[in-house]
Amino acid sequence: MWQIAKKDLYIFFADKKALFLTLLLPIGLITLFAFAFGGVGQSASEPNPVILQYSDLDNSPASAALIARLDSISGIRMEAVDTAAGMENIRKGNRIALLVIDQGLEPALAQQSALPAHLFFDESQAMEVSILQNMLRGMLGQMRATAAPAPESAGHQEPEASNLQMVSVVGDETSNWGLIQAVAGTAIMMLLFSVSAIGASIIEEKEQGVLRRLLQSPQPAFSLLNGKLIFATIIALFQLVVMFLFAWMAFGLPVGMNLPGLILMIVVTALCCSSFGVLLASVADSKRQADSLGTIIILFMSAIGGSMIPLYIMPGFMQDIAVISVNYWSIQGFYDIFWRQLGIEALTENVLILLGYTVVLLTLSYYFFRRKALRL
Amino acid sequence: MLNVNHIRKRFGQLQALEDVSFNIRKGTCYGLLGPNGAGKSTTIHSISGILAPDSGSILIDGTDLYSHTAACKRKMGVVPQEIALYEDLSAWNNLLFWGSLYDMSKQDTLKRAAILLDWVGLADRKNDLIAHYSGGMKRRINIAAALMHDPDLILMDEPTVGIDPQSRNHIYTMLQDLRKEGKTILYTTHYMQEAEELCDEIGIIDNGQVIASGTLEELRHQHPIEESLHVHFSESVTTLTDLPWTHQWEQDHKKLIISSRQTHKDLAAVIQFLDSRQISPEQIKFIPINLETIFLHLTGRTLRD
Ligand SMILES: Nc1ncnc2c1ncn2[C@@H]1O[C@H](COP(=O)(O)OP(=O)(O)O)[C@@H](O)[C@H]1O
Ligand SMILES: [Mg+2]
Repeated sequence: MWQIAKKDLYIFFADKKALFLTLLLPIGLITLFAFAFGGVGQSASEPNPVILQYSDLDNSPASAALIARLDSISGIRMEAVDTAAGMENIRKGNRIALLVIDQGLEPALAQQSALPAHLFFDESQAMEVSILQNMLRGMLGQMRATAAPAPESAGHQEPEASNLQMVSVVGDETSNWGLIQAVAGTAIMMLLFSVSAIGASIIEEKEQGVLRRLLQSPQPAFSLLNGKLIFATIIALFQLVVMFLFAWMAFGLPVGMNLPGLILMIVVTALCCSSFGVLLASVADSKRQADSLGTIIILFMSAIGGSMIPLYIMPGFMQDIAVISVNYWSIQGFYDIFWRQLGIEALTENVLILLGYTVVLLTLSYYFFRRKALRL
Repeated sequence: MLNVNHIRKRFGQLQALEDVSFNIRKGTCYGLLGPNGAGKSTTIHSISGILAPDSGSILIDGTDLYSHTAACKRKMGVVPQEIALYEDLSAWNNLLFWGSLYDMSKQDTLKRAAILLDWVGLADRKNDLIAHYSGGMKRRINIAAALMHDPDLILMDEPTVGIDPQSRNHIYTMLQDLRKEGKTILYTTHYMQEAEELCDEIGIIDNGQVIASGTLEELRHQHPIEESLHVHFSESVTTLTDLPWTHQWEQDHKKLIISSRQTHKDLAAVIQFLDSRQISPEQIKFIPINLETIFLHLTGRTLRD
């Protein structure tokens, strides 16, 4: 099986067209998406009910009224937390924002002075946060107006808007979530395309009679499948490494931030995608079928998994089904590394799920390979 | 060396192999002759260990193939009917790759590949991609790839189909070389001459059944077929009513078929007889007992259809 992988690598690197498709095309797309998402615009869509965490340190009738009014809005659910836990939730990506009301809300409303309220948020969820922000501002403005009606002579005064202090919790100047989205999303989608092409080559070998000749040798029947899997994994690793190097050199993606985590995610992503390619080859009856089936599945997974469109601008139910895609777990892993800047242990769930996918995909591959490819 | 005992194989509704049996002695070449769809390739696949028959057994050197598959496969080299090579690799790299499946040492592999390339006459083009080869050159590499591990038993499935006469002759020479080396060869073909000229023994296969087997001499004697002379005339001849030979007329008395067991002796007599009646034939053909006539006798069809 090593001979098979070696031979395929040799052919691959001799083929300029394959190299182009594996490297230049994704690099082009990453560049495109990086610019597209770089300054993300607001897009209209129906978001999930947003869970807004709050920590009420003021504990006054005014703060209670504010929370009750927020909770009564249909799109928002209020959740009481303590400040530290709330911040941690945002960092881990479990919640998008935390409203902290410090002491002295009532006097501040009445005196038109700076409000003791902070909204901590995750910038990668920009759209939902901005909705929250607007609602909060509106509401605080109303409350202030009732507390101390502004004198007409003073003319137009809009103090409320600037009084809610916005604090981004996740990410910093060095990280740009649009870039992360562009790199991770594109890399995984393109990776799926290249491994499915490798998978399709198994079928091509069957159609050409080369598979039969391989089987006539004393090598075990599955060595072809294993050889292709090794080959696909090596190409996948190669492709991902080049993608991230490119993002680092061209756009300054801080790849050194959590290198062990990044390597771990690259390896499991490569394994999982490769087994997808091999399964495709084992299931399909002809090369043409493998190609079209592969394209459909990859586009579907990429669309729902957040490769093409960032997850947060999708409606809630779409975000819920995203978890069935390989893309989702992989992209979220890369977000954890670069955006949330979490440690390697935060990737446990993503890694386990991707490995689980790998095991399932490979088991199915062996099953179908025995049933189909080995029948001559 | 190889015993094939009553193997049967069914594909869905189709009984591809009905009853295939034959034995090949060490160092001999056995020709399996039959028309397209007769079951030659299916037989080769069964013997090469990738298609277990539904019943019957295959012994290689007395060992049951399907209970000791890997060991038996090492003794065999299979030349498939299709060109089963990597088009994107050079001839040289193809040979190295196919050799690498047989756990040979690096040194042996390189040495063997060089010898084989020389032998097939393509040493000077060894670094060209297979994709750039002509059909006949591909066929030669297709054979070489099966011989990397120097097997004792060689299975060749129609290795000369669809190539130019020059390449074909080259392959015949290669086959003679292999026979001189003492290899045991199973050679399938639908060309009667190939079976006659290249093989020690011949099996005739039709509809998944070996219907006759033996040396050409044995096959001739097994079947009550006579040689014949075909005499063609330019006009209908109705005056010859007293012919002293077993005969029949065809094509509106324009063709006379004379059967005999000693045609070469009768030929002179026939010419003399016609001369005495002042009838001159347009053409006289000597039809020997060959595999074509035996096949016709056995199946009522020619090998071509
Ligand atoms: N994998 C297969 N599935 C179904 N039918 C097959 C298969 N392989 C061969 N056959 C059929 O078995 C018969 C014998 O085929 P084959 O052995 O290839 O003939 P030959 O090599 O003598 O031309 C043919 O009718 C062919 O269509
Ligand atoms: Mg055939």
